[in-house]
Amino acid sequence: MTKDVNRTQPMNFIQRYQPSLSWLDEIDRFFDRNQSLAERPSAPRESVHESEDAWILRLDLPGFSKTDVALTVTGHVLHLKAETAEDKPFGGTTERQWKLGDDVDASAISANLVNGVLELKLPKRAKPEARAIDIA
Amino acid sequence: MNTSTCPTETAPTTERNEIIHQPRFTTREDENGVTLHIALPAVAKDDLKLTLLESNLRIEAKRSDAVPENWTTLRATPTPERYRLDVRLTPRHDASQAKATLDAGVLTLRVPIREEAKPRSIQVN
Repeated sequence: MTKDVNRTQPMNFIQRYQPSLSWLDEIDRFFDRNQSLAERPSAPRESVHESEDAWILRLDLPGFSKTDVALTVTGHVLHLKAETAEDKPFGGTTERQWKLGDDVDASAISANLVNGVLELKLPKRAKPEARAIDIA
Repeated sequence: MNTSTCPTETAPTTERNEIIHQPRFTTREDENGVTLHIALPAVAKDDLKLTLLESNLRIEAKRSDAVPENWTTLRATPTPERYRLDVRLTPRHDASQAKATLDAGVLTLRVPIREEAKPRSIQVN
């Protein structure tokens, strides 16, 4: 059984964007096993990693093919919607949203889906180099 | 047609310092056999092993999405390194005729019912 403990952890560069989820909802979910996020089959296993030049997000999406997954970036929000027919094995709908920090180069985000694992690469934006300003 | 789903995973076991999980699976039975769908994300065909011993079918798999050494993991839900599922087949099922396919992280296993075990109608003379 997995436990999604990361919902309340703020992150510097990327964080879950849950506009409809209040802290009261969170408490309700915590005490109601039928509603808890850990028990929801639609909450896929997720991990976030950092390399020298990017952040990498991995999600388990068994049974989903490339055409079942839609990724959009609106402003600073990355939105994922994965949808298959309910009668397909492990089918249904999964939605995720993440708020991207300024350090992410949203125009260069790439995604791969291999063996039921979606890997998103969020490149780091190049830091501006310091330059000396001449005094006239 | 009977369909059942195992929506949650059982508590993981540890063997040789590796985390082993029972994967999510569904079963569906019809008049010709049983179909199992087993969620095995990040498992390649070469890392999948099916062993049949008498009426027990064991499915073992290893994830192939290890995190490179030069990556730092910032957060992660517990991820198993291996999966294991034991399925007990009834004598009605012909495991020798079982067929397996692995696609998009889902193993589909079809085990037919023996011909002699299928219902047959008896003509009344």
